[in-house]
Amino acid sequence: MLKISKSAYVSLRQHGEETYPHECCGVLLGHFDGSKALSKTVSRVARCGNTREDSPHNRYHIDPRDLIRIQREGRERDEDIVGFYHSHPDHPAQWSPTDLAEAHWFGCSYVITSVEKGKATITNSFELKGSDEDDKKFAEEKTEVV
Amino acid sequence: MPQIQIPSPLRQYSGKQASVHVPGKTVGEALAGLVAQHPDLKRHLYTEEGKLRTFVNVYVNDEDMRYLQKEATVLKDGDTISIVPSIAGGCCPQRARFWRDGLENRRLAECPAPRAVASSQCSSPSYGLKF
Repeated sequence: MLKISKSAYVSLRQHGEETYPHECCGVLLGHFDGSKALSKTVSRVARCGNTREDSPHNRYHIDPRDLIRIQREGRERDEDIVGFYHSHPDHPAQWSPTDLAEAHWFGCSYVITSVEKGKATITNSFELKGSDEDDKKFAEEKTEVV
Repeated sequence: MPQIQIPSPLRQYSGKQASVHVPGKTVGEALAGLVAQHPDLKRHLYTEEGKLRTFVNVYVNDEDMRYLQKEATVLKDGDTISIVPSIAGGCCPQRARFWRDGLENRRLAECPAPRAVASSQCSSPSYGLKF
């Protein structure tokens, strides 16, 4: 289960509209809930630039330096990185083989928004499950805007 | 003693610690000390051949160690090592440009058969049916 504040939800969808027809990307910050971390709460998002200037319409990459900065700022605010978001311009809000191949943050949520003709439509969230690169898979997770 | 920041997905292998202090004069020594303290981290950071996995970025303060002396990078007091798995992805390469190009310019030859797309290229079962 992914609980996301309304402001964070609106922000990540708007980001996709602003960068259309290119993919947007960013970080989800908040907390893992409970000792078993069965759910996550997103309190805010941190927008990032897409370094894939060679193919921004169907690829994204976040600069690791941005992650280090965001992680450091998160620690100061007692926040964790609980996931990431990106958009799919004119494409379903479903993970692609590329999304899975490039996913390495187990237990985190990968939120994808479909942006059709410049307008955000569906937003889905997928948790990266598994124990290592050989058995990793995405599982669709219920999302609640709070 | 250098400090190593552990990303959230790996903290279950570092005793739930978000940062670990390990001895080491170089990045290589510090990482070796980390996996010696927390052996379960090793397979997530290294291949079976003992090489750092390509998607694992290691930064010394704000510098990618690949652009320094890699594992031989000498550490100073107060240095922070950050382990940052990469974040990347993207939609199907046969992404429909149909909306922008106009429906009349659909190039169906660029899009795999709907059944093939649904089963092998895109996780959405409805993707093929849309077109």
